[in-house]
Amino acid sequence: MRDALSKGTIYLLLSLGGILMLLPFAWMISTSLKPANQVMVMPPVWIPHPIQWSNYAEAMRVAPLGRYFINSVIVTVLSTAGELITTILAAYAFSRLQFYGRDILFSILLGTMMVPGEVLLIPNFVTLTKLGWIDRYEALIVPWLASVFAIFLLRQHFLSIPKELSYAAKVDGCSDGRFLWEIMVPLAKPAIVTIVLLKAIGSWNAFLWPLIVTNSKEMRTLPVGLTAFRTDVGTIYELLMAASTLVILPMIILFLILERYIVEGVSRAGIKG
Amino acid sequence: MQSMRMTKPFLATMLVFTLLLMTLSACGQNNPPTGSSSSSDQTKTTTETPAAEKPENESIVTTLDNPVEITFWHAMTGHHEETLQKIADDFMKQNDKIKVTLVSQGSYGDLQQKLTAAAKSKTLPTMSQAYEDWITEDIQNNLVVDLNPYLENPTIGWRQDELNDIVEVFRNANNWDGHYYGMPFNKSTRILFYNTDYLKEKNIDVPKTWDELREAAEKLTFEKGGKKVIGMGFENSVGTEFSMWVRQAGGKFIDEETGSVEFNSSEGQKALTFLRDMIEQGIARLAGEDGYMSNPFGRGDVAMYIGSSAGIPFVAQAAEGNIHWSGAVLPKDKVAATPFAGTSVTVYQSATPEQRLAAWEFIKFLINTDNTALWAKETGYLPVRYSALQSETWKKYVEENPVYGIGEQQFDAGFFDPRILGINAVQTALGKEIEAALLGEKSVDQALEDAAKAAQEAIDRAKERAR
Repeated sequence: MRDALSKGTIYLLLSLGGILMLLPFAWMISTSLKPANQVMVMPPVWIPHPIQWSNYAEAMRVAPLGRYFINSVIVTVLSTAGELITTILAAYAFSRLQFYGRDILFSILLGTMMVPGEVLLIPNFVTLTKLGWIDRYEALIVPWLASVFAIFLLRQHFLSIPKELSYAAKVDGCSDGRFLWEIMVPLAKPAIVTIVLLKAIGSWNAFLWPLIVTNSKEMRTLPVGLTAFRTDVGTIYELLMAASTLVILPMIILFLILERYIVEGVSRAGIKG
Repeated sequence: MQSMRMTKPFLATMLVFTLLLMTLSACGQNNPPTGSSSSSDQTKTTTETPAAEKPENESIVTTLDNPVEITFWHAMTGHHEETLQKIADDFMKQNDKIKVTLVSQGSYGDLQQKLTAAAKSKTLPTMSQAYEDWITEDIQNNLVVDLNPYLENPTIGWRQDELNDIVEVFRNANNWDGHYYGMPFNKSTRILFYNTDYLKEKNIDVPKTWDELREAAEKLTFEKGGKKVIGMGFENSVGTEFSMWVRQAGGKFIDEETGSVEFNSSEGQKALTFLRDMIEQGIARLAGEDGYMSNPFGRGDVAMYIGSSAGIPFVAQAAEGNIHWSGAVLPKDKVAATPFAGTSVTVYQSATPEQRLAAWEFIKFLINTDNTALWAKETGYLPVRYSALQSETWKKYVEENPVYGIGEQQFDAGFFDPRILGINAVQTALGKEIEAALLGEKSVDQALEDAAKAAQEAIDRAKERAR
């Protein structure tokens, strides 16, 4: 009886928290279906009348969201995959291999985290211009193929895996490469999933960099596309929300698929997004 | 998590290497997608070559033999962008040698950042929308083309009357010591919006002076069907339009020539006290969480507000089915003073002589009588030519949509903000201090003094940097 009661309380609290979290999404979807004059009324209208599906068509017409979507997918997938590979290799090197200057190199790497991204914006832009990469996928992807934070995170995870495993593997004649991919990586799965998610979300939402390095509509990504609904004197909320719904949807689906790993990864690594 | 194992870092070596590694490293991809960082003290390009005597293009190209492509960066979105594209398409139909590529670069803040980056990497477009204070900086850095040789040229230029046809306040805003470095494109002004239902109900005439405005706001703050209506509204950016209030009170804002801050005066105090008292009395409010006043105004929570004429379409949308509304010229105090803002079009020196010519041709087309009228009709910005204001299509349009005729009624009272370096930082400081005064966190005197000090520092710093 008491168990049931405390369980009930827990569920009640969790439900309240859940509703609180879902509210903005409900609001977004509701707004995306409203005629313009119902967006900002008081008291708020939750169920629009009439339901204006045409907002989605209009949002798609104003901005080529289809093309932006393809670009976002390409950029997100490639930069995430690329970062994963560099991260795993670097983390392994920094945690398990012995070479001259390793720890100094790692300190320097960490040092770069202290440089704010804004400071790098223009120098990076100039570099890319010299490489002739402006308005191309290279500019959107290559600069993001390595992340110091991810390397640090995974290195710490690798360090927590007992050394005895690698000794045993060595004794059995396992090469470094095989040991890394077949033993270390599976063991560090929660950390890797965390890295993938942080990267995918960051890349999917990135705004300033894609805007700076692209000029043609054909090369732009979804967050840049969302600016089409903002002006300096007002925002077209119903279209912005329709477009936002379309932007967020893939992330929600991805989350649902990977939910188990995310929860595991976050609770083990203790990393706040 | 295991603690980090680091050998004692050799600090000096590390720092040197860190600096070396600052190239393509990947920190901070997740820049917040706000984009509208235009108000902050943006990273200014430092002068690479001192702005010595400009080797100005004495001889210009006046005919095009070969096809030429020009790029025009802008910050227009939605229907504004479509209209701009339509004008560009019409232009290309008439000029088959010129191809115009329009590139939307997000908000004005984003556009400015892109231009800064492009100037650094020498990849500027042929032409761009730009605020006049950006152009001032570009002139100092020798980046923009002096348009005088073009507009004075007998074959491709303008006659004096064609130049004078451009509205004076816009013309002056693009003139630096007799040289035109830009031409006005999308210009807006401030107007007074009011709820006609409420004014009728309370039997109030549209306020024409500050005193009438305060009186009207008092009467228009009332209970309506269980809903609290507030008389007057100000945009959250009220601080950045402080120049308007100071000038209306008869004071001065900032001297463009000397860069000296002059709003910390008795007129400035009068202006800020006027605004603060209305808010303190509860007969005026800021847009606050609503973002823009068009929202609370449109749903009838606020009876009047002062806002940008570019916001008319948003007011119309928010008001539809909720309230009836109209607009009027700004109330005045000692003098009538109306700010005119918005961007101009400028051409960069990185363009080839042929591109410069093509850009000039496009500017002429963009703001010819028909197109500036079309642009104004479609977007809510102001026509930039007197002839457009006199045209039958515009007159008919204003007859049907009287609010669009308000802007031109206050041209005579028009002014533009000083086109000086550091004006962004000045506006940021003003916004912060004025808000503090309006929210009662600081006294009027204190806020003005702090704002003036911060503004003067920002201007002096920008001057120092440009040297």
